[in-house]
Amino acid sequence: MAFTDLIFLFVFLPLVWLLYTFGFKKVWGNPFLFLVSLIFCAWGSLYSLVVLLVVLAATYAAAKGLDAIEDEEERRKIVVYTSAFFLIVLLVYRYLPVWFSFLPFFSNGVPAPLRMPAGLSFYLFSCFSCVFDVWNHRAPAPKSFVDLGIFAGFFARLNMGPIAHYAHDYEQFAHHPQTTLKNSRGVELFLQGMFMKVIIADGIDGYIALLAGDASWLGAIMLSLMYLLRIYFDFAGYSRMARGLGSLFGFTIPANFNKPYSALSVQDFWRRWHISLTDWFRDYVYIPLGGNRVNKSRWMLNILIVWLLTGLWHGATLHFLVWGLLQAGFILMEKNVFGAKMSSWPRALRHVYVIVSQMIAWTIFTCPTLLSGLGLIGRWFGIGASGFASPASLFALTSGAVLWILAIIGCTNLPKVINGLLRRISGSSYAWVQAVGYALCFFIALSSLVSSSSLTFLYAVF
Amino acid sequence: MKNANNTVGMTSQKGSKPSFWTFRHVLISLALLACVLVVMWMGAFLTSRYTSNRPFGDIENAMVEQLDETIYPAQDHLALKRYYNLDPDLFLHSSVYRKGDAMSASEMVLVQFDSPEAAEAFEKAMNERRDSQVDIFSGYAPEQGALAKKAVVDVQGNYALFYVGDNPNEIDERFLESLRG
Amino acid sequence: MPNTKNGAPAPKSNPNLNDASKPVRKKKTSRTNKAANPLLIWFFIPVLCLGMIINLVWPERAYSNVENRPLAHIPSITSNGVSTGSWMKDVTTWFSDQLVGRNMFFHTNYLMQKAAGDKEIDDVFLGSRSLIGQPKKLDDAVWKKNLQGITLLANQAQLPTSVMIVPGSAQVQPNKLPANAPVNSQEKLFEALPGMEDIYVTPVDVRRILQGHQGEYIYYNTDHHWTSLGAGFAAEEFFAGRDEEMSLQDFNSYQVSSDFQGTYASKTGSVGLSDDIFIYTAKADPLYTVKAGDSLTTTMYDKSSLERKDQYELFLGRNQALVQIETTSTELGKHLLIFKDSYANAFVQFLLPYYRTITIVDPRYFYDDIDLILSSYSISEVLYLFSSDNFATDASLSNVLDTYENGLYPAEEEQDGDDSEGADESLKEQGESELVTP
Repeated sequence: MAFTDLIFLFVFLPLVWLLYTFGFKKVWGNPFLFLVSLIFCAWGSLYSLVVLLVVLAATYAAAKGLDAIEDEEERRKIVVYTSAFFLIVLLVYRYLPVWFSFLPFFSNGVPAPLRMPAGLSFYLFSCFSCVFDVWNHRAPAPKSFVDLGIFAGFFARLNMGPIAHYAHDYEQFAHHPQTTLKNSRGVELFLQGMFMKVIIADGIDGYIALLAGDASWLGAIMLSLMYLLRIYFDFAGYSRMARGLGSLFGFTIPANFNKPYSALSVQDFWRRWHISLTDWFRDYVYIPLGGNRVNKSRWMLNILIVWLLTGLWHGATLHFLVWGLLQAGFILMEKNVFGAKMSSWPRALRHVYVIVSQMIAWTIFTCPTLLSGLGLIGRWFGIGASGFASPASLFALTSGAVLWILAIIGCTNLPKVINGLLRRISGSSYAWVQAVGYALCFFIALSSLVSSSSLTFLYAVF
Repeated sequence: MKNANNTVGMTSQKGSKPSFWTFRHVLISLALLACVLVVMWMGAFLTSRYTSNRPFGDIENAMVEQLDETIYPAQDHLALKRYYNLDPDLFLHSSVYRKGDAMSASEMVLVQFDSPEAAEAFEKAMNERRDSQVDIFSGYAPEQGALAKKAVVDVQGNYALFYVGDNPNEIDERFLESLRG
Repeated sequence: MPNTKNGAPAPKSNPNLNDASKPVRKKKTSRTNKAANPLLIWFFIPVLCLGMIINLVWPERAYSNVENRPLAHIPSITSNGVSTGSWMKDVTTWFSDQLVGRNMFFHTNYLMQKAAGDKEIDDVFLGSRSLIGQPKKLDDAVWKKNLQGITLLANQAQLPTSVMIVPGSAQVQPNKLPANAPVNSQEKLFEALPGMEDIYVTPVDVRRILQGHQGEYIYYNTDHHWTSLGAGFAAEEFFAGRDEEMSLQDFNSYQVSSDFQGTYASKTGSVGLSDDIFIYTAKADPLYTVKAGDSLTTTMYDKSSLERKDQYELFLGRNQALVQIETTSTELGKHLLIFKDSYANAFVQFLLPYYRTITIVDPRYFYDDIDLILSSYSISEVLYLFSSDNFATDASLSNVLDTYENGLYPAEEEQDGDDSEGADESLKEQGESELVTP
């Protein structure tokens, strides 16, 4: 099930919220939410439900063991075995079908029991977080299997939601009251995310299809910019919907994105993009490897390793690895080559640097092969370009003008400024203005959803 | 063996009740869970389809060899569309063997394909065919209806067979054997 | 592993949370948020609940008039479907198809996109007062095989053959398109046509004459077909240079509808656009009968279709495999066979005075052998009339032509595209083939 499925919006969500808020919340609140999340997972396929339960059970056993056992050597072994278990699961579902796709076994597509369950990469990393944090005594093991299920597998986070950080989140299980603030915040976040995903990201998708084969310079630049914008609105939109849903049930899920395209350096960018993933790699890979408390060459190696793994997390093929190393390259360049001089650059330059560097990165990331990505970048510089502008690219520019404006505004601080203005202008009737605004938002997004065939979330393959 | 003083002191202050989760128990749990997954993955192998590298002509000859051609005459190009509503262009090769009249349920369709869509379309169309034939014959020709009920729909990696007639299991076995060459 | 600096557990107000999201503090409203707005939850949840109740209570619909397609009905449960998730996907589709108010959302989306300056929805360009379809990309294998089949049949059956491939509005009336609309090119197909000319085959180029009348109402605004006027100009071209010239002056036109909303309206959900339908009857007004399937009528116009969504069905009714028209025309020996798609439906009205019989075959629905048709109806002339979109992507024509005398195409085409052709050959050698014509 996806958040933009009509059956989710008009059956699952209202039913679950009403039953929880006016029924189960007092007694068996968490078990109810866990059961509902299992149903949500099973909606993908029964096999994906089995995988989720197996992974949760393994995490539970490991965490409980880590809590109860005192021998450090045994504890270390538990972590090693559990990590191996997780990594094998990830390997079989994520990488095997891609690396061995030439085998006749896969000639008819991947057989059903081996298809990757939605959200595997996400909830598996949440489970890793649990195991590592309990091992390091940063948090106690989950009190019950249900609590763990809510932590890692709550339906809001399951498909693509921000990766959960155990030490930060475990206290919420016992106590996550619903408040009016959280409820209203939840609706806001959910509808904002829906607008970002359905109107902006899916709209851009249409133009990407139009310019896919375009060979002109303008077409190439527009295509790369569209990759940049689409992946943000798609992923950030979904994360925002996830946060909104969590908030509706009393959970506070931290933001996964923080206006990443206003970053002033690539390092800054990665403190604002997919924050839950970068936090995960920082806490569980970078710092254990020594972080920056080691000599310079070891530190650079640490960075390369972290980014290689980040690329690998996103995909099994070469161009993802290159993408990861590219990011590492930018970061190392900033640290070693530019150094402190960067802060004296004019802000406009720094913004342009970030946008251009990420245009290169997202082009490599999105194009199906490294060669086609490099080819597209080449056309920015006129290499292999058929001309300045083609009819298709001009058409995309003019026909989608409103969309580009919305998208660019959506990357900046402007929505908040406009919101503040509205609040001042409308004074005491702001609540009504806001409600009508979001109602319109929902209606527009719903119209678009109904009339288009469903476009899947880009990050859903992770 | 130190616990940082900030963990909600569950481990050392648990009291005298020993935890179920000893090292052994954790390892056994992990092993059992691994078995569950392996069993599920094995299921994928068992239900997978065999992809043959023999040419269509060979498979067809093997199938047609012992068919009675008065019951199973070959049909033309459009038969796939006419009887089963399948687009012949979906498949690399296709052959239809059946009598033109409506009194006989006996038929055999053999196709070779290279896309999962073709496999799915074939399976769906043949299941529908079998169901509709059973319905049609149940009224006026019950023996034909019985034949239709035992129809074989066998979709493999790049070949698929639909057969209605005597000895369906034998024919299916012969099909699988001929795939392996 | 030693505890690192980050090992200290997060205190109640988590520093990481403060970074990027609003802290959940009791009284203070931060810079980014605000007091709670209960209106939001009071509108959102009830709207969803209302939606849920309405949708679960409303009876199922089988067909969408706006989208012109059947709607999914509730899928049956199978164990395979549930374990692989395909049943759940079907339920999701079913719910989406059966959503109450679906049409309203569809139209709203059109208005929204139009207002935002969007100039294209689902491969249909939004012109100022009309919808223009994007021409389909050519499938070279398909149209080349079709052209080859036409030439082979003409020469083997030795029948004078005309080939008329009709472009769409996008190619004939580019001024209706929005600026810079990227239109797929079908040039290769049109450029190949003149090369077909031989003793039996005559390609008829209608592009020129249609472009000459591009300012007139020759294509519908909401449908992919040409209007009767457009078909009339093409008919003039068809008869040009023959003994009997035809002119639109020989016909009376009558308007039979002003609210036709065609396929493009279905695709985009357009609002406020509609078309007029005219029919043309010859002043000489020959009598004729039309036999299609079991029905025998004296008119080619199906008036009941004007009550339905697809009013283009006025011409010759729903798509049929075989339609036979017999006229009282005095043109002895003129028996025309037309292979067509739906474009010819509006064209036939201009042929009635000039042929004794007209046999119309739609290869998409025709499953028999054409040998029978050629002999039974004493065919004296063949016409192929297709839209360029269909001709370039639909292989049913070559499949039907291939039934001529057990196989039209030469046997050396033993590759992927050719199905039972190869099998037929190998079976003939085994002496087992027995072609049965149903």
